[in-house]
Amino acid sequence: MNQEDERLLKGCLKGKRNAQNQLYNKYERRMYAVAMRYADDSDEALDIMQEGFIRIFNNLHQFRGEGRLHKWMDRVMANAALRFISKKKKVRFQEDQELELLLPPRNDTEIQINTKELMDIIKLLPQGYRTVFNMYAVEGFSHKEIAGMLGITEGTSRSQYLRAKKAIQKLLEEYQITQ
Amino acid sequence: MMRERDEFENLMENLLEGAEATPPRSVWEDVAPKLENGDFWSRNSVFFFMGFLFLVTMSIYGYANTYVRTEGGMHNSDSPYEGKIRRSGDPQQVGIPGESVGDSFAIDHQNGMIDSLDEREFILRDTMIEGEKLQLRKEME
Repeated sequence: MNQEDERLLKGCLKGKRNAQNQLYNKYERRMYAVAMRYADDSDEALDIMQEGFIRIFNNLHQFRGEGRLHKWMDRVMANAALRFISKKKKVRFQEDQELELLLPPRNDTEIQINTKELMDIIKLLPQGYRTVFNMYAVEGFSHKEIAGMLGITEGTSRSQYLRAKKAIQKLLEEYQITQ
Repeated sequence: MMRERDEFENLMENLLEGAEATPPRSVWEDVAPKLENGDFWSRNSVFFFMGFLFLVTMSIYGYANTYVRTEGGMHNSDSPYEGKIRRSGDPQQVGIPGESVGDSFAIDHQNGMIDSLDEREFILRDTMIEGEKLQLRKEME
């Protein structure tokens, strides 16, 4: 954790509104990007971000200083997004079907795409795929954790992820072709 | 414990982790009022301050009372009471307007100053230390 984060963390833990405001301003854009990965539109993302920041500030004492503060904040924000999604609408997870073979592996480093374009591609995924993909590939949750949080089986989480991965690879290929 | 990531996941994480996007508006104004403010002491500071103020007020009142003493006999509720304010912090503070140290006063039940009388009785009874009471008792005998 860098010195600035440490200072802000201490201030926030003392309930200093100024420190809370500074931490908010510093990570607002990052947290909005996390929220946007789960939300359907910007209004939803703002609702998620509001709830997520309240949880971040009210649970800062649980951050044990291990790792980077913003990684912990990412996870809290992702959790807030999941709560929002599960409260607002039922996410449809298509149960296991015969999984098609994944596209032949390719050298991913060849993909020329920027973050915004990738985020736009991910937004094309169905909610179930997108949620599991974000949690597994980006936030780093295990399938066991995802299953617990979403109330699905580990197998469903695994298959949703593989389907999402396949869909993204396909979309990336199409994107590459059109470039 | 973090699990191992494959190449695809690493690529996704590299591209998306740390990504930033500008929100259409700030939600700080919605977040701030819902935050738990500070630790136990700062959350309850208003109550602590009010308690402190109460204690200070009571101390001042008590101090002022302590220094209002009278000379004269014990008060008999059937007869007018006469006395003299021997010492005083600030008689105004203990409800004896217009009087100061050394002033003589007389209280008559018939003069209609019942409230004032009650107040003086309270002061007399509550501020005399035991030694003074004994001395007064002896003088009366």
